[in-house]
Formats: sequence, structure tokens, C-alpha cells
Amino acid sequence: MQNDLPYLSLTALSRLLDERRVSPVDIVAAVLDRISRHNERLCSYITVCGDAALAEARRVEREIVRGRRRGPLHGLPIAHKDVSLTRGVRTTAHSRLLIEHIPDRDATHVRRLAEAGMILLGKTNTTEFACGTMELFGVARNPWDPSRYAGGSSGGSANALAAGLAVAATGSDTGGSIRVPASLCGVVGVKPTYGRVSRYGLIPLSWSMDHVGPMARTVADCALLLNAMAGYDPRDPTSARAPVPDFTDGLEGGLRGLVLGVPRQHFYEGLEAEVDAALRAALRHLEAEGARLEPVELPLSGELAGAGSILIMAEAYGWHAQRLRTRAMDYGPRTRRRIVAGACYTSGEYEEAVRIRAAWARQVARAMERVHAIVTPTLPGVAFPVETQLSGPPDTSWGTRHFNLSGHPALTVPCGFTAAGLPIGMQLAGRFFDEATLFRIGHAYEQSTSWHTRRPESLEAA
Amino acid sequence: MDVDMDRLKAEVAAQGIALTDDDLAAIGEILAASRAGLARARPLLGDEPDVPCGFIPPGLLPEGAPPHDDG
Repeated sequence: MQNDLPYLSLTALSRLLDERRVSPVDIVAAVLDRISRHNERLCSYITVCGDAALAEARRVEREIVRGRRRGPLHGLPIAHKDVSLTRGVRTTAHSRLLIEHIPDRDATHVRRLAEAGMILLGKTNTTEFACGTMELFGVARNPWDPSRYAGGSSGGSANALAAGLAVAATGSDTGGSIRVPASLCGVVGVKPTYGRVSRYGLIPLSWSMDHVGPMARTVADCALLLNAMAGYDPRDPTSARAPVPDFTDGLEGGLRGLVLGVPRQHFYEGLEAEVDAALRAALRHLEAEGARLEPVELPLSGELAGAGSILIMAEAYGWHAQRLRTRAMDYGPRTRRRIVAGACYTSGEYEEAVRIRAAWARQVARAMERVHAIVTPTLPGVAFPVETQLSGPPDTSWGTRHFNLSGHPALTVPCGFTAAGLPIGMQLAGRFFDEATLFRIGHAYEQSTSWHTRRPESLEAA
Repeated sequence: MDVDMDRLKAEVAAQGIALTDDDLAAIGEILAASRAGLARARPLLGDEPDVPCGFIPPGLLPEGAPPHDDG
């Protein structure tokens, strides 16, 4: 069983802990063993907290033995993207500027998961400041084919989960940075409603587009993690006072009675053939399981790249301006160029981008009046070669920036594999603060298919 | 959509940022691409009147209230 622990779900591991069939030390040691074997190749982690994690696991083990298990996450390890502040643990944002940065505080989501009893395993790879490349600590590689990119910016969290180098992780998502790598690596990632999870302690990219969310190998695991992460935080002025339900409550509700929107524009155009086939099959499957499909009109959906880029980079420049004046050449070229571009838009262009965003948000809101969720591909293609990422990647926010702009919650769940064995993801976007329905749909789909049970076996042979 | 490179250089210099010519050329391409994106979106905005108020977090919107059970 020891060898299987890193691939068990949080739910299964939690049950084993409850039954005292394994200890937190067993779980942490098993995952650390896989990290020691595969991290050099996959570049999942920038910092591994091996000794500290084992020491914490021993402490938690004593608590559990005394009958003081705090809840379902107590005693389970977590990996945080290296843009989340972790007290006493280096937080680099994959940047030369922060290479020795040791925060004196935890981000709110880090603190909340620690209070739930989770054990910090390490800090996962990210593109530089969540918007550039991965040069300093290596490129996060895709476990399904290590010559290919894991995706960004939360690529380390995604590839660690897919390869059994983590059982739970967090990420941040400004234009798709949770959902894109999750889709490319065949795991589940959730961008909650804007305001659902505090961004306090997240190294920011764009104040109006940044989100923090959970990543895991199953939908139910993401629901468990969001239970601990969500909730009002006075230290984030955009944090919502909305009540936080138990996101695991409605998981078994099934699809009957739900109406799912299928966009007429953009999302089903220009897909790679195998992605197209997988999504069509997934839609048929959702329908067969009891959902009703309904076309929805989203005319602006194909023309949001300009507005999204202007908003993100103009806001990013605000945070980076002073550093760019003194240390511009310590930024990687792509990061530096993208962020400085943010200084060069006119106020008229920024205002126009805001108007486009508002019009888009109205289109989504109108669609959501008729459907419980919208179903799209997460990406039009699958993982591409690492060289492409370095030289000039495709527009990976093609299907995801939409819900950063509008603030609606969205998750990605595996919905197939290509003949070459690369994962394909399906995105579900829902009503504001209705992550529970997304979990219900995602769980029903996942549990009636077997995509989530596959493992990148070729990794073991290498 | 052309970018005025002299104006771009002047803006970057005014911000006090020292960049290479390659940087400036790449930034010019980024600006051109995003401006072209704005231009493509413009005709799709329609004539629906809006109140220019920037970004409102969903928690403050009427439709951003927690969901009711209609499923």
C-alpha cells in the first residue's frame, strides 16, 4: 500500500488516517520519496520542505493518536504554488528578484489550510511572477510526456499532482493559470468566484483578475480543500462576505434537473480534432447522465484577448514599477516586456478594456439566468513541446480568461486522452458563488468515467 | 496596427526604465496585438447603455448573491 499512497485521493487517505491504518508520516514519506525520484526531471518543486514536513507529520501523528483529529484534511500534505507567502519558507515567484525572499507571514489560504491540519510539503514551480517563463529553476514538464510543457503558471502544482509528487495543491489563476496546467496534466483545478478565497499573501499579478484556488486529482478533493480555503477575510478588501457552504454536501446530487449551456461562439471553433471529439463525447455523456444541454449566445467570447491583456498588464505594472526602475534586467525578458507594456497603454485603452469586460460579464450573467453551468473545452489543444513554451507559446488563455474577466467560478476536469496519451480537459463555469453546482456536475461526470484513474505510467520506466 | 516607437521609447524613458532595443521591439508587438484585440471587440459591444464604473466584485452585485436551490 505504501507505494499507492501518493496516488490515493484525499478522501481515501483521510479515511485511512481515521482508521489508523496509515500515519501522516507514512503519507508524507511516500510522497517525499517520489519527489526525490522525479522532481529533478519534472521540476515540480522550487523548494521542498522535506525535514520540516516529516517533523510536522510526526507531531500531527501524536495528535491523531490522542484522538485529536481536527477534520478530514488533518495530517495530509499540501503543496503551495511559489507565489503564496509561507512564513519562514522561501517564496520566490520563480524570480531572481525574490530568490532569497523568506516571508514573515503566511498567505490567508496557506494559514487556513495549516489550521485545518495540512502539512506543508513544499513550494511548487510557477512561471516568473505568474506571467513569464520558467528559466531559473527549470521548466515544469508534463508527466504524460516530459518533452512537453506542464502548462502555466501553476505548472508545478499540476504536474506534481499528476505524477504523485503531491496529493493536494494550491494555485493562482489570473487568465487560466490553475485550469490550464490542470487540463494539460489531467488533474482537477478550480478557479472559485472572485472574492470567494482571500488573496492576502498572494504575490499579485492583477488585482481584478487574480484568484486563488485548489488543485487535486478528484473533484471531491477540490471541494474538501475549498471548504478550508474559502471565506471572508478582512485583510483582502475584495473578499466576499458570502456564506460558505460545505462544498462536499451536494456532490452526489447527479445531473438530473440541471441545464448546461453550450456556447454557440468561439469555444467549439478551431479545436484540435481529438479535443473536439473528446468534448463532443463528454457532452453526450452529460446528457445521457440526465443533464439537459442548451445553446447559449456569448458573442464577445472570441474577442477578449486584447481587453484581458491590457487589464492584467496595466495592473501588474502598478505592482512592479519601482522594481523595474532599479532591476529591470533581473526580470526574464518575457516577464519584463509584458509588464512594461502595461505602462504604455493609454487611459482610454484601459477604459475601453473595462467596458469590454463589463459587456462580457453581462453576456455571461444573461446566459447563467437560463443554465446552471456552461460547458467548454479548457484549451483547444493538448500539451505542447517545452521548446514551444520557451520560443513562443500559443494563447493558452484561449478558453479561460473569460471567467477571470467576469469573476464567475470555473473548474476543469479530465475528459479524455489523445491517442498519444495526452490529457484533455473540460471546463465548467457556473453562477457566482455557486461552486457547489460545479462540483456536483464535475463529480457526476468524473465518477461515471475513468479518466481520473489513469496514471502516467511511462514516468516509472524512465 | 502600428505602434509609434519614438513615443514608446519616450514613455519607457519617462517611467525611468532602461530597456534594450529588443525589449522595445517586443513591447511594440505586444501593444499592437492588444490594440488590435480591442479594435476587433469594439463592434461587438453593441449600443447597450452602461454605467462606467470599472470592476465590481461579484459579492457586491445583485446577481452575485449566494445561489438559491433551483436545480
